[in-house]
Formats: sequence, C-alpha cells, structure tokens
Amino acid sequence: MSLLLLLVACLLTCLGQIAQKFAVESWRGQPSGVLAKLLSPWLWLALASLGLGLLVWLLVLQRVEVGIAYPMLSLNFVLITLIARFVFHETIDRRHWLGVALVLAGVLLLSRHA
Amino acid sequence: MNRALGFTFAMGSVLLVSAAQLGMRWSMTRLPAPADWLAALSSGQVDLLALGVVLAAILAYVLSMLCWLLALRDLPLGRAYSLLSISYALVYLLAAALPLFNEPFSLSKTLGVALVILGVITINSRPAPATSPRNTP
Repeated sequence: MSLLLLLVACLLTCLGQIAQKFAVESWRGQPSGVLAKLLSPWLWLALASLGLGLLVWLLVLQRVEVGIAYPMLSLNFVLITLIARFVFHETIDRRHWLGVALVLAGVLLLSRHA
Repeated sequence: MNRALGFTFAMGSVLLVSAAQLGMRWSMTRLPAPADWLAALSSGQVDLLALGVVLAAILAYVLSMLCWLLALRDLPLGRAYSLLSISYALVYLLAAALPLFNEPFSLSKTLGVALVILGVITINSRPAPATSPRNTP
C-alpha cells in the first residue's frame, strides 16, 4: 500500500510536469496577455496534479521513513525518460539509460525498506 | 548568465526542500491517518503544533520551487538537477542522524541512496555543447 501510494505520487508529479510543458508551449507563439495565459487548461491541470501529488505525498510520509521515501521520488527521472522516449519519441542516449538503470537499482534497493 | 547567483538559488532550493521534507515527515507521523480525520476533528484532538509544522513545510516546499525556477534562469537544467540530488543525501543523513526521526542508518539504505544520486548525476551530466543555441541572441 505504501509503495502504491508512492507510485501514485510519482505519477501525479509526472503528469504535473508534462502539463507544465504543454502550458508553456501553448503560451509560445501567441502574444496573449496574462489573463489568457491563466485560462490555459494545461496550467490548471498542472496545478491540480501537483497539489494532489503533494497530498498523496503527505500520506506516503505518514507510513514510510522520509530518508527512504524522498530519494525514491527520483523514480520521476525514470518515468519522465520513458515518456520522453515512448510518447514524445525523443532520442535517449546510452549515458542517460545507464543513469536510469542506476536510479532504478537504487529505488528497488530502497523499496525493500518501505 | 550569472552562474554564482544561479548556484545560490539552487542551494537555497536544496536547503528549503530538505527542510520541507523533514518537516512533513515529522508532522505527518504526529497527525491522524485519513480514516481517523473525522473522529479527530469532532473530538478536537488534533496536534496543533504538528498542523503548524506541516503548513510551514508546505510553504517551504513552494518557496523551494520558486528558488528552483530562479536558479534555472542562470544554470543549465542538467547542472541544476545534479545539485538537487544533494538534497537526497541531506534528507537521508539528517533523518538518520537526528534522534527526532528515529530512522537508523543501514548499509543497504545508504547504498540505495548512493545509487540514486549517482544515477541522477549520470542522467544530467552529458557533455554540454560549447554554445547553447538558447543563449545566443
């Protein structure tokens, strides 16, 4: 249950970051005012997922040691890399994959204590 | 580009987010689980100090994000993320060292945190091109 909550917190943070990306991209190219920018649905999706992610995170910290749970948040780097590769079709170099493998190994080791 | 200023904001972000995480852990272990929220509210038995600390920690978290955005104006993203990984070590070491948290050191935990930090630095340390197109006018 603790690990599931942690995964949900990671997924929400990830969703928030991708929505931020789309919000910034939707602002680009149109010389709109602040109000139009604030009305971007991507911005609200970003804020909502970051807020909900924070709430879930607080519940994680109720169950898991912070010294373990917080470094496990680096799972975000793995998720973002997978999304960059398979959703946005970006090229990921070998060094980056090595880093992903190291993060994943560290997270798996830490998850045995969660 | 002002690297020194960017570095200062990045370190400020590291300290704020580390304090925020420790504060959230300290307070959440003193607050009731979601299933007991209604009962705690109706009986008025909520630890007000813990509630204050969790709100202060959330504020520190928001401030760390602002510092982070300011740091990104002057630092390349890869460098900034590598600096942020310091906070993993800081939170782990402080939670283990401070008796307040009761989170003992162990070899496999230390190894796990070290692997995570090494991985984040590896991901973010690809050799940057000499001139970044975004910085040329």
